[in-house]
Amino acid sequence: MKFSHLLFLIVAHEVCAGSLEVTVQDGKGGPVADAVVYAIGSTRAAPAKQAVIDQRDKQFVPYVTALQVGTSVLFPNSDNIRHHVYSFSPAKKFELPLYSGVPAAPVTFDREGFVTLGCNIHDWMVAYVAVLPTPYFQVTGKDGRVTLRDLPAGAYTVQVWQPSLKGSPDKFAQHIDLAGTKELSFTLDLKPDFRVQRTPALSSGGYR
Amino acid sequence: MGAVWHQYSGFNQISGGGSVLLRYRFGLGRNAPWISLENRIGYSAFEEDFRNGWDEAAHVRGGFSFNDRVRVEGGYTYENSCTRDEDVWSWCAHHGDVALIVDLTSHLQVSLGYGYRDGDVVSYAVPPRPDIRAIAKQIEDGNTTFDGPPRNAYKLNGQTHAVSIFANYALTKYLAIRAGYEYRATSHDPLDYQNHLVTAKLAFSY
Repeated sequence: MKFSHLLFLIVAHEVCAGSLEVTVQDGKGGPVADAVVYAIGSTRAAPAKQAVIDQRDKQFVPYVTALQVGTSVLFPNSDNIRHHVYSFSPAKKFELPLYSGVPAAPVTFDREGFVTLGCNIHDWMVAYVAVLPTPYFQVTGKDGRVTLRDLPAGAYTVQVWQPSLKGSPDKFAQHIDLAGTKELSFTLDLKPDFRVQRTPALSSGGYR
Repeated sequence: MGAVWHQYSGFNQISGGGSVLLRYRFGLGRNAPWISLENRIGYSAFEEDFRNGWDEAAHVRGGFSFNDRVRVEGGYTYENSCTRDEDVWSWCAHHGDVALIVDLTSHLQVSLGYGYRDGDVVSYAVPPRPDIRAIAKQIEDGNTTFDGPPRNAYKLNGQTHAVSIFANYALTKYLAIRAGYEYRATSHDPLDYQNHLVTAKLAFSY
């Protein structure tokens, strides 16, 4: 291979593959976990074949799932008791009545939006699904950081959503022109984190 | 006139039993209204063993939520406790209650409650007490001892109004600490009694 051809290939790779290093923090500068960071560009790709949201030790695992619109999700029940999964969210309303093991059919999330999952038996069980119009997304860990890799060069709108977010992700959107590696930071306005506890409660009506 | 005992160990008891509970939710989600039916049967063994006997309690409860943090629930209970001789120590009662429960934070829950009870109460008094004897359903003469002279036990029908406040704090995923105060006022004309009850407990579930 001639040297000029090799140089072209190296340059072409540099132009086509960029990455975004994103930090998400709250108003006090602390890291925000379970935040979905996603970059919307002009690229459209086929969604991943399937995602999995498990039920283990009477909890949904993971707490926050990000996926591209059109992805199917399997809801295996790894517990030795039955669960009843449901969602009222406009982006996906569905119900998996009391079951154990693996349901026969996965649930396809075919509309963009943010979906809240619950279990009708165990009130503390909650999880979220971010259904996104892009294949470029990650969910932050405890350090509040993610890296979106292999993004084609071009213009992107980068947004962040978190279950406790006040307002819409549009409010915090950043528009970038990506070539190479770029660093972004988001400071989110969050509501106090209120989650139903699993411990015995004063109410006798729910499974708590 | 009332009297105060510093400690009375005759009521120390060990109880065991079982219950069956059926709960139905009208719809999906933790804010959906619900109703439950429960029947509990057990046996209580007291330090003063003439109090020993079988207990049964049947409950109907229901509730609904205003929003994610505030809910109301209430119910009716019929209780029946029966000693071997079906004597003054046997009792039965009807009880209704309602409570407002608020989740202040993810960990802290408080409730304000009101209860009404109509049923048997046992009153202890040093004889002669012709005023109590006249309204008593059953009497046990001098068979109970406290610090001091022997007292008669008089079984009466009494009406009780109770108000309570409780707090429940989640320590871990499975363990909560619960504390509360209840004030009870029981009456059967011309008698009336007040109780101040303070409760503290650890609750565990898996």
